[in-house]
Amino acid sequence: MTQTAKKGSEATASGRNAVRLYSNNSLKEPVRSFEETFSGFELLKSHFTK
Amino acid sequence: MFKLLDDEEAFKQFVGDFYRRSPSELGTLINCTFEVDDARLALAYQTYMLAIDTFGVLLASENPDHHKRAGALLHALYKTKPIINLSFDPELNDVDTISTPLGVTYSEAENELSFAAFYAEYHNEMTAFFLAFGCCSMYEPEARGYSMPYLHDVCMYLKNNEELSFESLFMLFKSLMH
Repeated sequence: MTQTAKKGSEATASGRNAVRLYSNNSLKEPVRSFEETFSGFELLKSHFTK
Repeated sequence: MFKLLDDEEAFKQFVGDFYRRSPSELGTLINCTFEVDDARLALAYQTYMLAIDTFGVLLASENPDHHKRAGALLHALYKTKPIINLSFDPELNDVDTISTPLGVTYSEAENELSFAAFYAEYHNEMTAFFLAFGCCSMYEPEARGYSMPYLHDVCMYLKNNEELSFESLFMLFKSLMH
């Protein structure tokens, strides 16, 4: 009984702390190279030369 | 990529190279010269790492994801403005006159966005966004892009708001990639 109460209290304290943090995630591995990403320069060229 | 940017020399090399080659990326759109200021790049790195470290404190993993890092990168570059001493050849007024489309009067063209005017106003903002967006997109499962009106609005938002936080720019990328 004492243990259950302690567990509940820890969970509440932990949850309270988590509220002041961003939702947890972390940096993963890239899935493409920088050169394969959308190019703003190409967008400008196509927009201003049509 | 983002792991690489944690290193100061790698940061200055990668970001500096991206900025320096931007005129050649634009091809024949414009003929201009500028400098990329090394001191501003060093300051951008310090600003970037302060945001990364702050996110680390606000995150259980202590390892910010790509949206947060892209926001931190855009924030550092929009604050420090690495491009300095921009000049056009010919001068901007002449470029604007030249670039008015055939058959369109000057008054008709007055409210049309010309590239020279856009670049003169937003060269630092757009280059910072191009770089941060590209770095962020490397980690997105689906390839992402944006439209010219979106780019224009982002540039104006950055230009008109000098005190944006890195957290607000994190939310820009989080929302854009959602």
